[in-house]
Amino acid sequence: MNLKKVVKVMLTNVKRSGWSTATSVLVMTLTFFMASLFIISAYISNVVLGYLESKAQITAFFKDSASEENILNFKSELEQTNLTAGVVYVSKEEALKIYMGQHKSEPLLLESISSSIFPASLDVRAKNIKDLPNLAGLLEKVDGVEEVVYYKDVISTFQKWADTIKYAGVFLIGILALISILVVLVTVSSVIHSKKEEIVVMRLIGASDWYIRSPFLAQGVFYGVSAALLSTIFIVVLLPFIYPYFNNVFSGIPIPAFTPFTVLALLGIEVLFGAFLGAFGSIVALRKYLKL
Amino acid sequence: MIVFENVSKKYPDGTTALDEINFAIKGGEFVFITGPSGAGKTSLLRLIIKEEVPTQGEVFVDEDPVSNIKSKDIPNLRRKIGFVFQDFKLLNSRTVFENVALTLEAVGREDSNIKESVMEVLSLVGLSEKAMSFPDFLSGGEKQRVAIARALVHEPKILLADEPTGMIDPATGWEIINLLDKINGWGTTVVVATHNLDVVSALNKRNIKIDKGKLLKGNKNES
Repeated sequence: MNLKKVVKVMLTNVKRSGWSTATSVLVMTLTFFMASLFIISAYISNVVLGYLESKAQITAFFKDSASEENILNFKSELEQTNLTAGVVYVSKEEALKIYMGQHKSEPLLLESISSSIFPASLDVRAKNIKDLPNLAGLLEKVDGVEEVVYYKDVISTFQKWADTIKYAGVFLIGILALISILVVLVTVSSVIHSKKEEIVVMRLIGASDWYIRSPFLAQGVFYGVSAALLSTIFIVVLLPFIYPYFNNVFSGIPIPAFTPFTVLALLGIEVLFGAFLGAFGSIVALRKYLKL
Repeated sequence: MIVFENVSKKYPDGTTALDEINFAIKGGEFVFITGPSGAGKTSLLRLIIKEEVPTQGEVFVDEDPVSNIKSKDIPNLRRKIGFVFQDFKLLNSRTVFENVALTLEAVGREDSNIKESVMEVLSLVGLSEKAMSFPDFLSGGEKQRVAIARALVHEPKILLADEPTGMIDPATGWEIINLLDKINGWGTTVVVATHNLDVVSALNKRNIKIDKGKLLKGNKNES
């Protein structure tokens, strides 16, 4: 049977399945929608984690009494430890500039402010995030250091959250995928059952296995692909509402925008996944109920 | 064309449908398989299309041993054979045209020549005007003629008919038998399983007679 005929027979089967078709597509759409949300969450988590790791730095604030010369000497010593990926000296004046840059829209805050209230600091980036505690220990012992701040706990906590989202997502998607396969199986099986007589006749007049099976296989693929398309449409419609939420939670962290390319990539993955799930459900139904 | 060599068929419940049957049907012959209900006529026909497999012996179609045909090649065997079922086996959701076209679609014929072939064979069985009717609106005789058209449309070498007059009135039965005779006249090998002895005696064709699975008469072409 050529593809055009397979599609024609398949569409007739789909139409005749009515509510079963609607249920199959709905359950699969839900699966893909949840999968999309988890994929987006995992993607953003990764971006945030990468950002936090790249910013994994220790900031050592110096007392006003510490001279710039001593701080710069210590900077050189730190650079020779081979543990650092970069050490930046931020003078009191530079700290003021940074502060002014961050609050330029709030002129009231900037009135009568001077560099004297900001401490000089060293921003130390570690080569390896694991060395942060050692470097922090070194800095704390230095004479003239008032306070040492670093984000080790923030990163590890975020990492744990990101992992939890990932594992919970995989688990939930797994269960939904299984339900999708079962729904396709039930729907295709009921179509096979309703066409039992036709199948018997086709076998007896010499129809090939492929001629008989292909419309049922195509039916499962159709459900999967339709669900993938619907889910992507929902995601595209909802993205403008979801994204500001992420931007708000992770303010200050540059989260890349969802471009048409990323939407297409997501659609491509889901269409393939949908075709696979649908075909798998159909194949199980065919193996169980259509022994030729 | 069709050869049965020492063929037996026993079912798992112990019933012996056929017991050491031997006969040969030549190409172009018209043969009746007769016997009372339960004699094994339908089992015999089903062995020819490999709907059943013999417990013993070998069936040859076109000189090929049927037992050697793999599952995936069974459709090729069935495409050489047209089968007319006693209960018609028409699809009620399809029109007469679609029922007949199904055979051509199944054998992979191009759409462009399906219409022409279907209309030709419907005209042959006298049902051109019923092409767009559904089987539920046809009489028994018309349904049987649709079944014959469906079995003939792909021009098989062999036409098997299982009790083709069983579910129709005697007058229509005669029409069907005459049609099968006409088809045989064009060179198609026709095998008709029937318990209607009036038809058999009137037509004076070879009769392979079986009862309780045993061949009683007709293992040689002696008509």
